[in-house]
Amino acid sequence: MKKFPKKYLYYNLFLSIFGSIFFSIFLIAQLFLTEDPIQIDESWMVIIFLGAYFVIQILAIILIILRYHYTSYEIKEDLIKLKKGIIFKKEINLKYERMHAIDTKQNIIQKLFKITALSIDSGSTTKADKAEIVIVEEDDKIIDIQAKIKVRMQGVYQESASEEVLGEEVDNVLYRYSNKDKLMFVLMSSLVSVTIGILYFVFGSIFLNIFISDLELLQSILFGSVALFFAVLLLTPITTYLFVLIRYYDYKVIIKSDHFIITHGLITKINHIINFKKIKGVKVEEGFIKRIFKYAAIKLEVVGFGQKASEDNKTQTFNYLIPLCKKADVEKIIESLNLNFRYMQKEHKAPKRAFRYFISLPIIIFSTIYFSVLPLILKIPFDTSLIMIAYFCLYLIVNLLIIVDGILKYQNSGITYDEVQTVIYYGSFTRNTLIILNKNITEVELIDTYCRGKRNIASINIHYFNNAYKNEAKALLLEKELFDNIKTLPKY
Amino acid sequence: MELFKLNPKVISYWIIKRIILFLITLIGIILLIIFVPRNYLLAVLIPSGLILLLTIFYTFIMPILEYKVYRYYYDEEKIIIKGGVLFRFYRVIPIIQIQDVGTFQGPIKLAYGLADVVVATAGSVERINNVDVNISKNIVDELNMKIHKRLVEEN
Repeated sequence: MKKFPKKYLYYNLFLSIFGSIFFSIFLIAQLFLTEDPIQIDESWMVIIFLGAYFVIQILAIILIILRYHYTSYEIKEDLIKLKKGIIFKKEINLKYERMHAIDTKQNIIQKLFKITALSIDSGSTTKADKAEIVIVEEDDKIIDIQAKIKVRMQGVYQESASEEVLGEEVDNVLYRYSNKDKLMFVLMSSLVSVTIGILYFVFGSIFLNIFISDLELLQSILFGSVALFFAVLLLTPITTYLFVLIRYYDYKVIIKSDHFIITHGLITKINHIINFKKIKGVKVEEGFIKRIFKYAAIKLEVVGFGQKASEDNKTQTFNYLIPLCKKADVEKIIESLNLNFRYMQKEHKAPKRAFRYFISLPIIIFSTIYFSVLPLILKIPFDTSLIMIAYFCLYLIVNLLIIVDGILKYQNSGITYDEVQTVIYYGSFTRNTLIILNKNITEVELIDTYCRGKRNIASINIHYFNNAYKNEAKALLLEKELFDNIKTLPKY
Repeated sequence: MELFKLNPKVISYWIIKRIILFLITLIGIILLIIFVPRNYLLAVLIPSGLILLLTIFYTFIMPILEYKVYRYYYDEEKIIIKGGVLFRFYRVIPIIQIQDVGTFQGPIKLAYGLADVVVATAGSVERINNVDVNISKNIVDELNMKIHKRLVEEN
């Protein structure tokens, strides 16, 4: 068994000590350099606090050293073994055929220490049998390890390890995130914030006008709101651009004989390797503003791809293949992947008679809950007529949102299928098109109610092997007869 | 293709299980009535009454309706589970996609001699709820044999 390099220990110690020094300076400055510094005879509590703080820091350092000594790994012919844990010891054995995605990450401090973290996802979707492995090694060794793993993964990677140096290939670059596209992304994201800001400002002003009778106070609040609005208007594009610049720095997708390599990042350098065989679905995502500008993003549905390399947090996902492209290019891009996935136009849409069901149930549920609390609202000690105006205004606004949401869901819902793949169209403000190979469908489900059943309308749910949090896609309120064909699609 | 029904004793199992929730709701509402000031009583009673009605429906009426609609079926190729009262569902799970089959029994289920058959695929976990414990064992054995047979055929 091999330990992580000493540099990893120094890196962790550096982070701990640097953080500690920074916090101490901040604390001392707060206590003694303010206008009203703490008196020496009153400072016994501070001394106890600082003492306890330093004891905790020493314990943290001991923990880092122990964790380093008790963590080791071994790359075998058939599996990778990782041992960790000080009191509760854990041994993870991950076989090559179970590996789904290999990611490398290097933040700016790790770059100084010349170390990189390599995480391997097992593809398990439940916490119980989760076996994610994170190996930290020196930069040059990580490339070797990565190549070794790729060669051994199902024996599908035939290239020589020395030939494949990441980031050096130019010919096979499928996509680069251009500066023009980044600016477009910033513009679209800012537009969302501005729209929300304007709505907030308009409705806020109306409500303030109703409830505040003091003209001076109203003017000062409105002035403050306008100032805040313009500050947000200015800051949003700047911060979004900085975020895009850092996160998507040098974003490129390299296509190889049987896998993708996706690299990006300025402060944290990220590198994903995805075997074609592990791709369960391709998703085209079009946000509301993106649709107006005819742009889209393409995501890959692969278990483990883009998930945070931590055992405790699997909620953060970043599974983009193409973060932004013209909608017109989507079909061409998906075809150029040379996988079995094909972008298909919607064949079966939600019928007109289904439209009311997109709206009626949410309105009934909301109205029942909303009006059942009316007696409580009436007890608020304020002008009853104003309260009632606000109460009904809010009711109308929420219902308006439900109607808009329902219309969009109705327009977006649909399904297309053939012998090879099924395409599900769903979403409201964000329109999604999910392409799943039929062989990856694990379950098909029909959902209806008594009324919908009588009108031959039902929702169709397709389950497939993917991330535990989103392993199904629902095509809402289609013709019920479609299910007779859809239930023949999975491999039996 | 005739789908299988559950044992009728499942109705009393569901009622017993849900009575716990009903009692908690009832105690909560009684405490509210006792402690809420008199002038707020009506305001609290309306939503509470609504919740109580729903809980009564869920505890005493739903089990009968659920029993009437719940069906399951399995053969060489697939498992079918059908059910739901307000929202009706019809699930088809291909045998070849099943990763793991097992049974589950909680303390009340043990007392009633019932068990859930838990069918895990790579994309979802489904249950055939509350079948007789002997039937559940047979289903698991049969499904395991079918899965094994299919895998041998596949290879």
